[in-house]
Amino acid sequence: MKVTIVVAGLAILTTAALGQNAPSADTGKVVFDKWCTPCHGAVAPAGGLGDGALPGTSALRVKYNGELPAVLEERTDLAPEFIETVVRGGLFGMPITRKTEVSDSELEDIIAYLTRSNN
Amino acid sequence: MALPPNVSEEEFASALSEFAQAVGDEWVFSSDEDVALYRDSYSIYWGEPEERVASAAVAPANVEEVQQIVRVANRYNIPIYPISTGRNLTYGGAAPTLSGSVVVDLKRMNRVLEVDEDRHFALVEPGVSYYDLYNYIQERGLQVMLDVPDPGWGSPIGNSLDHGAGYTMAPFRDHFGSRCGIEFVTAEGEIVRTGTGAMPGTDTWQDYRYGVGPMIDGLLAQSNFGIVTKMGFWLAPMPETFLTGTVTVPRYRDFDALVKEVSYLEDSFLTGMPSFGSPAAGGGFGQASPQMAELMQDGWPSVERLEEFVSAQGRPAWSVELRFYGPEEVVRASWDAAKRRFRDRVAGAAFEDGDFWRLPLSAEELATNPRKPLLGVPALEIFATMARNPRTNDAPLEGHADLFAILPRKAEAVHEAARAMSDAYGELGVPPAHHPFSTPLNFYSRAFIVPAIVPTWRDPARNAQSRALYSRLVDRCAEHDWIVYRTNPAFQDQVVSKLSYNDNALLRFEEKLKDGIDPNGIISPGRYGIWPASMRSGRA
Amino acid sequence: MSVSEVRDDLGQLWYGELRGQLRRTRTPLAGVTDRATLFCLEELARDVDMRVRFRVDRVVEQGGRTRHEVSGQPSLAPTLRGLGTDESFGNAMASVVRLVDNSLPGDVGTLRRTGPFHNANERTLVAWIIA
Repeated sequence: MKVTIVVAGLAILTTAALGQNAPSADTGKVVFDKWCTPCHGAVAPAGGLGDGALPGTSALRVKYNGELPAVLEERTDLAPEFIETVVRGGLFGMPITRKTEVSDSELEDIIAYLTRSNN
Repeated sequence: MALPPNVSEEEFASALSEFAQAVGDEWVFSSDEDVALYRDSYSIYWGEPEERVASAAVAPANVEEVQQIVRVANRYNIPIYPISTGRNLTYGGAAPTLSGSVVVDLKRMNRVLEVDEDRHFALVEPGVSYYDLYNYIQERGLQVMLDVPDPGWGSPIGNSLDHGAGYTMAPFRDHFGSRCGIEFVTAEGEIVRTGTGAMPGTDTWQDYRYGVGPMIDGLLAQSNFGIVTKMGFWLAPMPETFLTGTVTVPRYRDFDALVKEVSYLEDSFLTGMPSFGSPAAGGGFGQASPQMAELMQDGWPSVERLEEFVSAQGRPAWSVELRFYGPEEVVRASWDAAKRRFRDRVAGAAFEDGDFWRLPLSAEELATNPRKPLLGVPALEIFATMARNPRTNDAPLEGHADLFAILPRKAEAVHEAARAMSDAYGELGVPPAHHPFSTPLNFYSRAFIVPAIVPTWRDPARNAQSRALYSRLVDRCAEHDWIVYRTNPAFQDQVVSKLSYNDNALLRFEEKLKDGIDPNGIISPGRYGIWPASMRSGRA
Repeated sequence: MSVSEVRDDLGQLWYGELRGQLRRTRTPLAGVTDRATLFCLEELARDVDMRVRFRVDRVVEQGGRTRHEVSGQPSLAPTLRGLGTDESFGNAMASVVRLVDNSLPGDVGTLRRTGPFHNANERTLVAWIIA
C-alpha cells in the first residue's frame, strides 16, 4: 500500500507583522465585513443562487455537512495559518487576495477576529 | 525570481530601487511570496511554464507616481502591466499578458472624486471598486443608481476598459459605452485628458464626451496605449420603482417572434435588460437536463421533433423576463403595452407579473434580496454558481475561462451558435453545455451573446482539456463569423488573429500606433494581440 | 511510500504535489506536524473527501508536563502510542495505515480537536493519519 508521509517540523506559515500594533479583533470585524462577508456572511438572500446561503457559506455547508459551522464567524477552532493560506492562496473559486487589498496587518486583524472565541 | 525579458538581474535590481524611490519601499513587491499574489487565480496554465507571471509589482498612490514608474520602466526597457482592482477573473486576474512584466497595481488609487446627483455622473480612480462607489453614494444619500457587473469587487474603470457589462438599462449596462472623460498617463509619462477635459478648468468633462476632434477613448480599452488614472461615468437617476413581468410563448418556432418583439421594446427604451429562458427545457442557460440529453442523443433534433418535445413537457417553449425602471405609472403602462404587443403578435403568449419594488430598497431589504445586480447594488452572490452548493455538491469549479460569442439578435443565429458550440464540446468528448433551447444573454442591447463557460483548474491535466476546448470554440466561432468579445491573455492572440478583414488591417494599424505612442513597447505588451515591434516577429 | 516536507508554503505543497495525487489515488497521508499544519491539511483533504482518521497529540500541560491524547479508531492506538519522529516513524506509520478502516464512520473527535491554539501548544507535534 502506498502512503505519503508529511513531515513538517518547521512549518511556520505566519509572519507576524513585527513592530506594528497588536492585532485587533474589532478592526478585524470591519475588515472581515468588507472583504469576507459578501461570500462568507450569515445573512443570505431568500431564493438566491446559493440555495439559501452566500457562496462561501453555501460551499462550507456542503463541505462540513453539519460537522462544523458553515459560517466562519461561528468557528472556534480555526488555525491562523489556515486563514492565511486561504486568503493569500485562494481555494476553489475564492481567488488570491493581494496585500494592496488586505494588508498583512489587516490579515492579522481578521485572524484575531475569527479566532476570538477559540478557547 | 522571474525577470523581465532581456533585463539583467543588476538592471532589474536597480529599476526596483528606482520604483521604490517613486512609491516607497513598502509598495514594491518583489519577494517570491509577494509576487505570487499577482498570479491569476483562475489561470488556465496554473503551475505550468506558460502561466503568465509577474516579476514584481509596484503600487502607486497617485498619478505623479504613475508617471515616475513609466519613466523608470522606459529607462530600463521593463514591460509594465497596469491593473485596477486586479479582479478581472476569467480574463487574466492580476497577472500580466507577458511573463516577467512588472504589475502596476493601481488598487491604492481608490478615491471617488465626484458624484453629481443632478447631472448623474461619477468620476473615479482605478482602484475604486463598485462596492466603494456604491458605499460613497449610500453614505451621502445620493439619488443615483449604479450599473454593476455580477462581482461587485471589480473596478468601474477596469471593467469598462475590458468592455464589461451589467444589468440595468441599455445606456448604462454597456460600461465602456457609459464612460465620459478619461485621464491617462502615456508611455512617455505625460498626462492626457480626453473629451472636454482637454480644456483646463472645464465643467463639462463628465457631460460631453466628444470634445473636439478625434475621440481617442477607444484606444484605451482592451489595449495598451496608456495607463488610465481617472474616468467619468454616466449614472442613472435613482428610478422610483422596479417592476418585472414574464412573457411566455408556447412553440419552439415562436422564439423568432419573441426576439423581434423584445428588440422593439429594448430599442424603444421601454425595458431594461431582458432575460430569456426556456420553461420547456427547465432553464435555458447551463448544463442540459437528462431529458435534453436524451433528446439530443441522435444528433441535433429537427424543429418538428423539438415541437413534439415542447408539447410533451406541457410547458411553454420560451420565456423572457422584462425589467422596467421608472415611476410607477410609467412602468405599469410599459408592462401593459408590452403585453398588448405580444398578444397581438404571438398566438398563445401568456404573462405573469413578477417583482414590484419601490426604490431605493433599504439596506435591510437588500441584504436578503437575491437580485442586487438588477438594482445596481454590488454583490458577490454569482460565485455561488461555481462554488460547492447542494446541486454541484463535490464538483465545484476552481476557475473558469469565459467565451462569449457576439451574435446578431436573430433566433436562427442563437440556435446556430448553440449547435456549433455543442458540436465543439462533443468533438472533444466533453458533455455539451448547449442545446436547442439555449438562450442568449443580452448584456449589450444591440447584440446577443451565446456564452461558453470553460472550467479551469489548478491541475495541468484538466487545464489541457479546457484549453483544447476553448481554442476549438474560438476557431468554431470564427468559422461562423462571430467575434469573441473578450478573452484572457492565453487566447488573445488567437482571438485577435480572427479579425482578418483586409489582411488584418485593423491590427496592423494598431501596431503602427503602438510603435509611435510607446516606442519601447513598455505598456502591457501583447495585450489583445498588440505587441511592440521588438516582440512582433513571432506573430503569424 | 513518498515523503514530502512542508517548508513555508503549504498551498504549494497541496496544489503542487499532494492534491492531484490524492484525487487520483486516495493514497493515505500520514504525518508528524505541528497542529496548525494538520489543521490546514485536514481542511484541504476534505476537498478530496479524505478525513483525519487517527491522531496522537502531544499536549503540554500547566507546569510543563506533557501527555499524549489519542483519538480515532481504537484498534490503532497501541501501535501508535510510542512513535518517535526519526526515520523509523515513516515505516511505523506505513504499517499502521494498513490498519485504517475507511469504512468506519469518521470520528468527529479527530476533526474537532485541531484547535484551539494555546501558546504552549502552538508548536507541539501531532502524529496523524488522513485517509
